[in-house]
Order: sequence, then structure tokens, then C-alpha cells
Amino acid sequence: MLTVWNRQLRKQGWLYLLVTPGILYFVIFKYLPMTGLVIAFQNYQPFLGIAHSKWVGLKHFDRFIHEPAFWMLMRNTFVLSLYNIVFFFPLPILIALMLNELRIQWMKRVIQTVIYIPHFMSWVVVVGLAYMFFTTQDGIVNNWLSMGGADPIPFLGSVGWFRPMITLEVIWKETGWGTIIFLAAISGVDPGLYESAKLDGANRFRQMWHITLPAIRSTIIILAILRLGSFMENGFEQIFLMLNSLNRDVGEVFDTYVYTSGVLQGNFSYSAAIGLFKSVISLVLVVAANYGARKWGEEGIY
Amino acid sequence: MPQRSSWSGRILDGTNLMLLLLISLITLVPFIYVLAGSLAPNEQIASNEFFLIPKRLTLDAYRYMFSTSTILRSLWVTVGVTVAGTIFNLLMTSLMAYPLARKDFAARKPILIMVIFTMLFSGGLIPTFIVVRSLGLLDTYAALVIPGAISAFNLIILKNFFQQLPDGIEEAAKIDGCHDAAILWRIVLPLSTPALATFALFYAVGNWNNYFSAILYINDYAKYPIQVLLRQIVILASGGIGDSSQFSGGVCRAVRFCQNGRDRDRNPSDSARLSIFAKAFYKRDLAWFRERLISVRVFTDKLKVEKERGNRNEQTESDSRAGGCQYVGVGGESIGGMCRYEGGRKGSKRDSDDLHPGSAVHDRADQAGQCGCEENRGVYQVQTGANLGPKRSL
Repeated sequence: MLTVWNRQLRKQGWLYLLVTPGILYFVIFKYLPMTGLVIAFQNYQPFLGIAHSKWVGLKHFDRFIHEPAFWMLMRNTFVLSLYNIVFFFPLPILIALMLNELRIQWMKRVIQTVIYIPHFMSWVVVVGLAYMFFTTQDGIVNNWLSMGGADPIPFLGSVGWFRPMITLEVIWKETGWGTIIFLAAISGVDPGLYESAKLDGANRFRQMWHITLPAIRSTIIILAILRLGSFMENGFEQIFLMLNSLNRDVGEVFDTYVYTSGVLQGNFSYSAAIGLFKSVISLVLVVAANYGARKWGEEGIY
Repeated sequence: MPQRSSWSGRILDGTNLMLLLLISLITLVPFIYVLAGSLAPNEQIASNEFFLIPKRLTLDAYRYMFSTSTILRSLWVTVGVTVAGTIFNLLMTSLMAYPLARKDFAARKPILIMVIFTMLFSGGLIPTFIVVRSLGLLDTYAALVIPGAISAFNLIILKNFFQQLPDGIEEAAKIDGCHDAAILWRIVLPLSTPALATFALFYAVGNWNNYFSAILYINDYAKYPIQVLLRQIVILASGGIGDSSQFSGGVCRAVRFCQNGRDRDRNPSDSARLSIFAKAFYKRDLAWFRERLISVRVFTDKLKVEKERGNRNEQTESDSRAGGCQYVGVGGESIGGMCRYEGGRKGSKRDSDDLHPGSAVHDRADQAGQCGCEENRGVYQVQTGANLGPKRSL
């Protein structure tokens, strides 16, 4: 055994050396935190450390699921993700199909470049823009509304507008970028297919329906699996930036809650328990979505 | 591609093009608005005279911005973190990707499984935070770079890219006596420049836009990257919606007060904000904020500042909101300017209270409700100052 190992090292020593920093990174910053999750079952005290903190079993989980906040977080996460899937997810597909129908190639490139730009902006910038446009005090939209004699609408500080605003921001920021992957899939379609469809008398809608869409079907399904897998993720930065006391009831999600109660208030164990709860659900969702995709005869992601 | 002929086809094409142009316009308008605002003199912004094209251009806002040290310092922090971080990201990722791309590498499979598992399951925020803290990385620039050194996703794509390179070249190099590290450095990396450039872009954008790590790991405002400062200036100052936080109230009151005041012409806060913003865009300002951390610091800083400034802000409210204002004042001269207006004007208290009636009560009640447990409620009652107790003691 030892000699096999030695021979291995002599033959591929360099490769082991090259891969070591990366492995160290993954062990320290990914796997060490996973073992750190044991604090979810402890009353972790920073000055005692993991070794000496008291074990409390499932107390934190029990406390969390009996809290009113639990259902609020579940509901907010669920609704925001649902909004995202219903209103955002189909848009990149639609825009990619529209771009594909454009005949003027330089126009297509210009439009593509323009709609990619927002992706490179940070959420601070995007939310900042939303503030400039939508605040009740000096927001330009409300200025127009008041010029038209209408009452100002509290886009950013109300329960009803929170979800639509979040979804709109995501749409503005990510739709253009989202088209790339579909355009790549479309560009792989054999032009001969369109030729023969034309000969068969298919009009452009027919061609799109029977050739282009089937060509990007597996891409759509893989993205849908990934999206389902991240169902519990609502984008911490964006939501944290959009949260305020007026919309907290509909805006607070797992990540922001963990951040507030863990990092800011120092309830490490309790927040780690919430984090673990979330991670486990996410894992189950990815595995289930992948299983489903395979069952439907598609290639999964693993 | 589709045939060119019928009337219906042309109408379809026309509508399609129009819709796409409209979408591009919606994408561009906010940028143009910000750029225009940053170049316009203040009175024009104040009076809503224009939307996209100012009647007169001025660089006052930019001059104002560069006359302050805070923003420049923050920009330098971000530039430094982006450059160093991106190099580090690329180095780590390609070092790890190459052995994984080698089919003859014995440990390939287990390592790949180890990497992919981190994409499915993670320890989450709190344990990661504890690890970073116990490594002594809090308040260091390294905390902005190292915890995100390798993106598992990018790693796997780069690995796949390396695999597509022809095997023959490596074989030839080996025969010539190259060892594996030399093959990576002299052959694989030079052949992969397009892929590396793409990942450099992705990593750089991520580093430039990084806000989360900064609010998580950086307490020292002298080390704040631009995103954190940007959020402070643009969002907290311009909105203050229902008081985004107890802290934001102070800034927003201060700024709004200034804006509402007659000194508006002398105070370029509006266009300064816009110009910072525009600048951010220009630099491809690429990716937030520890409200309560800040407000705690604000609290502790407050004493210092009051000494320095000769209790200038005494006439403003003495709660943590006013603290917010002073914090910004500490952070930089520019915004300090705004705050000074508040301090300097009479009737400021009445003015700002009118803007946010009952907000303090609302905020506190709201947060007590949000954590819903006895101990936390207790903590909240004592205002933000106490919240950070645990973190500070770590």
C-alpha cells in the first residue's frame, strides 16, 4: 500500500502539489464550516469554543419552527421564488427567441451588448437606481405622478409593492444576461432543419415551435433544475438592500434573518440551526429536481 | 434563416425590432439619467427641469467628489482588492483545474466529488463567519479575497476547457523533459488565454461588486470598499424609506434636510450622489452594510467626533439617528458637509421629525416583533448600541 502511494507521488508529485492549495481552500472554507454546523446543536459560546460549549440537541430547531417568524420566512421565500420563476424565468427564453429572429446582424449585436450591461452592475447600484426612480420624496416616477395630479405611490416602502419591485429589479438586471445561454444553444441548430421546414411549408412561428424550441429544451430544463435547487435562495444582497421597517413582513427571508440574528445579534447557534435547515431543504430540492428531470427522460445535472 | 417576403413577415420583423429596441431603451435610460444628473447643476435637478438632457453642463459634482478623501480611499481599496483578488482567483482556480483536467491523475475523481458537493450543500453563513474570524481575517483585506478564492462553478468550466486542449502537446512537452507544473505554466495557460480572460472578467466583476463579504468581515470604515460607501451615500441618504434602519434615519434626515434647505445651491449633495453613481457605472462599478454594526461604531465614534467638532451637532437629536449622520461625517468631508448643514440650521429638528413621524417607534416595535423572543426583545429595547455586544467581544 505504502509503496503504491510512494510510486504515485513520484510519478504525479507535481500534480498533487498543484492541487494542494485548492484542496486546502475547499477544506478550510467549505468543509470546515460544514463541520462547524455542529454548533446548531449546541449553545455555542465564542469564548468557550466548539469543544467546550454545552450540547442542547434539537432545541434551536424546536424553537425556530415554533416561532411566528418561521412561517413568515417560509412564505416570503416561497412567494418570492414563485414570482421569480413565473415572471422572470421565461423572459430570457422569449428575448433569445426574438433576438434570433432579428435579421440585421449588427443590430442584433448592439442590442445584445446593451442588454448585457445591467448584469455587471452591483445590487447596490441597481437598488440605488430603484431608489432614484421610485422614492416618494424625490423619486422621478413619483414626481411625474404628482405632476399628473396623482397621489405618490410608496413603491419602496409598502407591503404590496415589495415583491413586484424585487422581481422588476431582477428582470431589469438579469434578463439580458440570461439570454446568452439560450442564444448559444440556438446557434448550434443545424440551418438545414430550417431549410427543410420551409420546404414543407412551415411559417416562422412553426419553425420556432418545432425547431428552435426543441433545440433549447434541454438547456431550459437544466436551468429549471438549477433554479429549483436554489429555490431557498432569494439573493441576500438585493433583499437586504431593499428591506426596511415598512416591508419587513413580506421581505424578510432566511438569509437576511440569519444575518440579523446571527452576525448582528450574536445568536450563533440559533442562526446556524436556521442555516442548516435551509441548506438541507435546498439539497433535497436539487436532488428531487434532478431525479424528476431524469425520470422525464432528460439529462440531469449530475 | 427565415425567408424574406410576405407582408405579415415584414410586420412581424418590424414589431420584433421595435420591441427589442424598446427593451434596450429601458435598459439604457437609468444610466443616461444618472450621467445627466451628475453633469447637471443642482438647481436643475432640484426643480426637475430636465429628465435626460440637462440645459447646462457642469463638472462641479465630480470636482466635489474628488475633493473628498473618503470616496477616493474607498475606490482605491476596491481597485486594490479587485486587482489582487482577481489574480489570486485565477491562480488558485487554474492551479486546481489543471490536475483535475488530467485523466491520468489518480486522485481526480474524489477531488471532483468533493468540489461538486460544495455546490449542493454549504455550511452556511454563520459557520463560515466563525471560520474566517478564528483565522484572524476579520478587518483585513484578505477577508475580501480568500474566502471566495475559487468558485466551484468556474473551476469546473475551466477544467473542462483544459480537457479540450489536444493531448499531444503535453506528451511532447513531457518528452522534452517538462514536469507537470512547467506544462501548466508554459503550455496550458498560454493556450488558454481566451478562457482565462473570460474568468478574469467574471472574477473581477465579482470582486468589484463584492458587498456581502465587506459588510460581513470588515468593521473598520477606513477599509470599506466602494460598494459599502456607495450604499451609504446613495441608498441610505436618498431613500430612508420608512427608515431603512435606525441608522439610516440620521443620514436621510441630514441629507434631506440639506436638500430641502435654502442652501441647496451651495450644497452639491444631489449631484454629488449622482456623480458617484455615474462614476461607479463608468468604472463598471461592479457589486452593502452592517447597519447596526455601523450604528454601534457611530455610537462609539460619536464621542470622539463630538470632541473634535466641538459639539456642533448638539442641537440635533441625540439618538442613534443623529449618530448616523455623524458617522458619515467621520467617514468623509464631503458628506460631513451635508451633516454640517443640519447642525448649522435652525429648526432642523422640527423639519426632520415632520418627515418621519413616529418612525422610531415603528422601527423598534417592528424589530422586536421580528425576532420574537424574550432576550432579543430585551436587546432591542436598549437600542442598537447593545446589539453588537456579542460580536465585538468575539
